[in-house]
Amino acid sequence: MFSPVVDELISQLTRLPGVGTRTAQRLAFHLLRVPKEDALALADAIRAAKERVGFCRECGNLTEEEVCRVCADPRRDHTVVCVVEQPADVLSLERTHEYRGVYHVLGGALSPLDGVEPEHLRIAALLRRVERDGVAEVVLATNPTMTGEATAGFIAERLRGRTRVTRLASGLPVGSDLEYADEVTLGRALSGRREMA
Amino acid sequence: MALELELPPGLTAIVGANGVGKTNLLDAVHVGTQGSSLRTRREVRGIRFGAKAARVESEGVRAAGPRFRCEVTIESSGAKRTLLDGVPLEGAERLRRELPVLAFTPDRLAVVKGGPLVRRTYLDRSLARILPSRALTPGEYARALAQRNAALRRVRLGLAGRESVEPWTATVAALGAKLDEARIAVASALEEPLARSGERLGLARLAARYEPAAATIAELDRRLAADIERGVTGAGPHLADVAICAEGRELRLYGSQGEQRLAVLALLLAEAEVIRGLRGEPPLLLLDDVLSELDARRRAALIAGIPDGCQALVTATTRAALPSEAPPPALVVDVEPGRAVPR
Repeated sequence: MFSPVVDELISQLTRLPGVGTRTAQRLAFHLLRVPKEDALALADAIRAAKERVGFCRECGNLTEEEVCRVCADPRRDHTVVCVVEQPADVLSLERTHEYRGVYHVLGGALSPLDGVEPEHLRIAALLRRVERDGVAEVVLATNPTMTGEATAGFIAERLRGRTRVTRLASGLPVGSDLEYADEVTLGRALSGRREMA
Repeated sequence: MALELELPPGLTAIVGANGVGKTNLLDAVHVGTQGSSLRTRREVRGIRFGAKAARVESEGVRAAGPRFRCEVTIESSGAKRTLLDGVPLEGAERLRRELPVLAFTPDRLAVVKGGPLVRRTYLDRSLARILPSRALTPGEYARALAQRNAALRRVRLGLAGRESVEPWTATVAALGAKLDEARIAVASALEEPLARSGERLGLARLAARYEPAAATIAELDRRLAADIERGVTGAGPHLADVAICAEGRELRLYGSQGEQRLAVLALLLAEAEVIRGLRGEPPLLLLDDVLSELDARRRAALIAGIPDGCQALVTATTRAALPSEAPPPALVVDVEPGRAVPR
């Protein structure tokens, strides 16, 4: 519509998640308007990230080395593996400073509607890892969504009898008011209630 | 153009000739309290010709609690905004859980007369009103089912292995059992009130029976080959039906049009009673075009059967259609083309 080069830029941007045609056009025009260095800095950042960042051989997290920092850290407990959907989930868990084990990033959750099957996730790698490293506990920390739960169930079934499998608890957000909790969360919090020590 | 109406507790009769806008008024109340039209899925049709938007503001008291204020705006673009006490709600469904409203329109006959889908939908709507904490269960089950069906089709096309169906079989079985349990809870909560309201309207031993239909993991696994073949899950509560019977006679098949109408009204009165009892909150009743179809005795029985504390709006073509044996309405609104005058 504009010029073949601009059209190509727009069509490339449209392929990004959450970006529709309108947004892609806005982004393209913005990139064409800003100083050349600024636009190329983005291109360089993309190139550098793609060339240098890969997936950890062990856990599938993002890393510039062959093995990520967590997996390479001898102080971490390698017999406890926490399974998450995305690299961003690792960051969230790391921020707690509570968890001393290692991770396993699946790269998504099972969802046939979106064409995501077990072989598209790093499930086989997880099973091999459990076997090989004598993992004592697998903490399933997939999202408490339907796809996350189904994924957790699928993995738990395959680990049955091979190691201890736990699931993150779900319940009320700390510091919030019961009044504002949705019924589903409150219901789960109720069914997962525990004895006061 | 604006209309402001104050509606008293108890019964309000909306009286006017055919085509003057009685149903419109009732529908405006429905839009204003439920966020959706009684008559059409395309709410933009409710906007006055040439205007940019339609808005209904409602204010009222709930059983225990302060006054609420609700505002529903429909723009000509189709965008809908809902505010409850000034707080924007994500969807109108939320409003349905917050403010219980039960409506009868002649279309509702389909609940008895129509196919199983209409009855399941009706039961699941009742479920959301009677047990708000389980309002999301039907939708969750439907999503799980869509995932399993997608997995089945992908296996059939050779895009995935059979084990990819497994987690969804487990999810469908678990949510199906949950859905059955909730539907049974609703059906049993309605049982006695329904027998009573049916009796009052002249239908002996009226019952709405739900047969649990959830399939276990083992049952779903047994039919896996057939399900893959067809690309859909062939058993479960998405195929269940509710049998609405009087004296053991299924009214869908053996009821007259009159009996079917009475059964729908009896269901509505029964649900009103259950909601009042369980939630401590009498629902608002909107009854359109019902009095003209009933004989004098049943008109009186219907009006007398409205549970205490319920506010009800009933349309009638003439004042004479209002039952003389039942207590008179607290307010009569005369509807004339483009006007509504409380008297």
